[in-house]
Amino acid sequence: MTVNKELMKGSTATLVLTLLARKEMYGYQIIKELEVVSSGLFEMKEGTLYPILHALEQSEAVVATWVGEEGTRQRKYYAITKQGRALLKAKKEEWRNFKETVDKVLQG
Amino acid sequence: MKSSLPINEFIATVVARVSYKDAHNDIARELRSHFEDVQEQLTGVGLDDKAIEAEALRRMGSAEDVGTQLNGVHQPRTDWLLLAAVALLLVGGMFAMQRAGVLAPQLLWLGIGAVVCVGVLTLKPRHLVAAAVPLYLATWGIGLLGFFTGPRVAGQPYLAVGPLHITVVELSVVLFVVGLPGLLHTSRAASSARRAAVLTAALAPLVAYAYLASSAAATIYFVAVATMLLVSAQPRHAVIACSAVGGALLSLAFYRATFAGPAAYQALQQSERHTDFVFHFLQAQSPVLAAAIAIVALCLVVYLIASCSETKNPFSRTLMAGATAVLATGIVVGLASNIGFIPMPLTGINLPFLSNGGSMLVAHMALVAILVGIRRRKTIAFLT
Repeated sequence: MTVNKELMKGSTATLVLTLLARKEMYGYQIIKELEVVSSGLFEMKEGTLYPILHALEQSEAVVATWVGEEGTRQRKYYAITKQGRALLKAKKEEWRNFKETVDKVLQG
Repeated sequence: MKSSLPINEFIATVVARVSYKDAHNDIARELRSHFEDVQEQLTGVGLDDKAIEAEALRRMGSAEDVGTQLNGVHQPRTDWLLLAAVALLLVGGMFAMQRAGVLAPQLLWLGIGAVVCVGVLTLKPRHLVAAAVPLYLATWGIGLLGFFTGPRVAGQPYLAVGPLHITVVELSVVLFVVGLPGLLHTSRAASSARRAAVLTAALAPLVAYAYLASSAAATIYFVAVATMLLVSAQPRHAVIACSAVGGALLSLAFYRATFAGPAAYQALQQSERHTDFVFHFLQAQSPVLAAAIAIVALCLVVYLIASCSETKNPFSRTLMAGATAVLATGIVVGLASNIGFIPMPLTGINLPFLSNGGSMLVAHMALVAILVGIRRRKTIAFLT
C-alpha cells in the first residue's frame, strides 16, 4: 500500500523535523529513515525533499553544515534548531487536532 | 557516483530553474552528494552503472519540478529592517546638517553614497576576495598620496579631489576592513609564512595610525581587526599575538594623541558641533529625535552583532564582523563621548550617518550595502 501524494505533501516537513529532532542527518539518510520508520509506506520522489529542507533552513527551523573536506566525500547535514523544535511542537498539535476531527467525522 | 552526462544534465536543469545564482553551487553539490549516496546503496545488487544511474534519476523525479520548487525557496530577501534603521539615522543626520546650515553639501554626498551603494550591491563575495590584495595596496597608495601631497587639518592628512576633501585616515580604516577578510580567507590554508605575512599586513595600518596620532582611527581599526581575527578562525596563538601587538600600537596612538601638544588642542578647537559633537547638537535641537536616534542606533548595533552568527559563508561572516565592528564602534564611542560617558573629548570619531563629513558618509553607506548584500545570501554556506 502507498499513501496518496497529496496527503503526504502537507505533512512531509513535520515528518522531516521529527526525524531531525532525533539526530542530525543528510538528505539521503532522511529519505531512507523515513522509509524505515513508515515500513515503506512513505516513499517520496527523492528530489522533492530538498526544496523542503531548504525551506526549513530559510525559515531557520534547521541549520545545515557541510561535513567533509574539499576534494573528499562531502555531505550536507541538517540539524533542528530551537525555532524548529517550537515549530514541530505546533505542527504536532495541529496534526492531533486535525486527526481527532477527521476521526470524529469518519466515525459518524 | 562519477558525474555522468545524464546526472550532470539533471543537476544543470535543476539549477537553471533557480534564478538566484549564488545558490547554484550549493544546490549542485548537494544533489551530486545525493546521487553518490544512491550509487553506494545500489552497488552490489547486480545492476550495472547505466541501470544504477537510471534508477537514481527515476527516484529523483522531475528535474524541472525540483528546480521550480527550489526557485520558490531561494528568493533573496532584502533586509528592510536594517535599511529602515539606517534611513532613520540618515534623516536624523540630515536634520542636524540642515540646522547647522550645511545641508546642501551633505545631500550631494548622500547622492554619491546612493550611487556607490548600487555599485557595491552588484558585488559578490568572490569579487571582494579577488579584490582583497589590490584594495589593500590601493588603500596604502591613497593614504601615502594624502600624506605627502594633501592638505593637513589638525595634523591629519586629507586628499583634495577637485573641490572635495577626503579624510584619508578615517576612509582608510573602512577600506582596510573591507580588504582584510579576503586576505584572511586566502591565508587559512596557506603556509605559516604566508599567514604571518597576512597578519603583519593586518597590523601595519596601526603603525601608521600611531605615527599620525590618530587615536580614533586606531581604536576603530583595532576593534575591527581583533573581531575579524576571532571570527575568521585563525589559530588562537596568532589571535593573541596580534591582539597584544595591536593593543600596544593602539596605546602608542593614544599616547601620541594625548601628548601631541598644539595639534591635539587644535583638533579639539576645530571640532564643530555638527561633526564630533553632532549628537549633542541634535539633543539641543530636538531632544525627542535625539532620543529616537540613540535608541535606533543602539538597536542597530545589537541587531548587526546578532546577525553575524547567522551568516554561513566564512568569508562573508568575517567581512560582516569587520563592517559591524566599524559601525558599532563609531556609534557606541560616538554616542558615549557625546553624552559624557567618555571623560576626555575624543575627536575624529565620525558618528555613522549622523556626523558631517561626506567621504565617511559614503564609506559608511557602502558598508551598509555590503551588509545588505551579505544578509541577502546569508544561508549560502559555500564560497562560489
